Amino acid sequence: MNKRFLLSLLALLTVGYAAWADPPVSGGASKVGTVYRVPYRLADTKHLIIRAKLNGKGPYNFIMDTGAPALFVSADIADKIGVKPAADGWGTFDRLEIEGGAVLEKMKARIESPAQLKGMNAMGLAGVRIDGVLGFNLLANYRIEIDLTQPKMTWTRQAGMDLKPISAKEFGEKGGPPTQGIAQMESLTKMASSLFAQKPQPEPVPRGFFGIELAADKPDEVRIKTVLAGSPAATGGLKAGDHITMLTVGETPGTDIGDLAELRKQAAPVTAGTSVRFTVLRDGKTLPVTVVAGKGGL
Amino acid sequence: MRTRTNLLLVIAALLVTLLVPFRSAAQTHTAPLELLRTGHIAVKVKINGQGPFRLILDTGSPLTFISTRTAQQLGLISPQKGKSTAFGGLTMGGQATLKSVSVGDTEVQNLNALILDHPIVEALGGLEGRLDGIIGFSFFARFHTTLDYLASQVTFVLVDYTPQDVMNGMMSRLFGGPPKARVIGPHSLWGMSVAKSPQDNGVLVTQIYPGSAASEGGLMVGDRIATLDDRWTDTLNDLYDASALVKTGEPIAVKVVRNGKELLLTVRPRTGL
Repeated sequence: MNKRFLLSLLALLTVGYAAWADPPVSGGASKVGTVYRVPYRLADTKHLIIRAKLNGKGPYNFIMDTGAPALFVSADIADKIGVKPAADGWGTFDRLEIEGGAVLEKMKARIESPAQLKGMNAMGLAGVRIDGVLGFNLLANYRIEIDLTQPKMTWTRQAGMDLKPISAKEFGEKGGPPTQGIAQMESLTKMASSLFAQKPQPEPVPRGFFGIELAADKPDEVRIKTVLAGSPAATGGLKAGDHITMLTVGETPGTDIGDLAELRKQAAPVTAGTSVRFTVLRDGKTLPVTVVAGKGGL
Repeated sequence: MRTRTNLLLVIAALLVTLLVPFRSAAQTHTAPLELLRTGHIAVKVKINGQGPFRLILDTGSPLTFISTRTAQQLGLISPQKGKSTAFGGLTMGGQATLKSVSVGDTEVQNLNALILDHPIVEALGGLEGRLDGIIGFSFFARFHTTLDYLASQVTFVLVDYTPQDVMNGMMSRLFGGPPKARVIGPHSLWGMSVAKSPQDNGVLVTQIYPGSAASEGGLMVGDRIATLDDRWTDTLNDLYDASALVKTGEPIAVKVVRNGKELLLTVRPRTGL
């Protein structure tokens, strides 16, 4: 594999690009100073993904991107929602809600899918479908705190702000829109996408449910405090007071379970409907107890 | 053998204690943000003690980039190099480890950067004056980063997070086998069963185990869960994802729709499976 090629692919992951029209700062009248905790996830490409609903539809996945001048919404999503771009490429969403509660009204967006997004989606790079980008005209309505050690960002509502306009004359004098650069990004995207067929990311599968409450008082012992009545664990015959020493999934016996973290780790891949065998210490005797992990429990 | 392991553990413990006062003394570093007329933000950056250079601060960039011109100025590549083009006609000069990268008085040492003339950065530079690259995730993720557009400033406070190299992730995505389905499970025991609500958004509660955390928190069969810990729960997977992230024993806000009315409940999930 050509390393240079990989390196240029990395350039594709950068979502900074330009919208060559005055991006208006827009947003509803929600109170300045309101603090929102905004959930995000980190994509495989190290992009910060935030979910948003547009006109009540969605949620859709957006990259939080100070390198983008505006909110971008992919054309197919806008079409599904029924928002059509005007001749200048801008469309308006009556209501945009960010996960965590922040709401913006009459939000202007570029309705298009930039080359970088097309490429990332075609190759399945991010591990999740990206539907657009949250850029300046949305982000500038907030003071934004990012901390990767925390599961949520903190966004504080501020008064929106406007950009100084760039005149058409100046634009012309300074070379106009970067059509060549954009064309380069697009050709790179096409080449990369043709080489790497998309490997669709399978939908996540819920873990199976047992219905045991565990005692957390001793760090080096896993003891059942309560078995929920009618739960898969109760049906299988686990009892309060049982001391769990091993979990066997499939034919091969599991390894010793010394603490809660180890049990969690071993139980993590068990999907609903899977039959597992707990080895428990009860009244001084070691017993095997088979439990079929339940569906839809938590 | 055991003695040696124990000794190692003690040393490890000592290291941790040594780190604590250091962390609590973490300082707040503020640097000015320049808002470009295109809506991008730029910061002044010193690289290997030289500069300042002017780089775009880009949360949408996994990496830090510098232009070939900047790399030449820093002596990282020879003036001849950097003419070579990669696929797609991009001008680039490979990768470099930058010994020191400072924004204001915040410094990151040994930062990996890609030497490349990013077409968009070049175009913005043409419009707004010389730009030398992009400060990306590999830099800012090490900090509690506050972007304040109105005050035109960015604040960095060191946190305990080391960004992983995006290259590895991409390699496994492109060259690894077919991606495996992720299994998602709640971190704690709630004591209820749920199903996808057929028409509406949200997840329907189908069973509450007596004496469980869910029961204690006031959840009832027939409730439609709209959010858990302020995360949308439009699908079962959303609910599992949200419950995977909350801590045992903490009060978790659960918004449900019951008889057409929204209700905010608090549940403290317990230790269990």
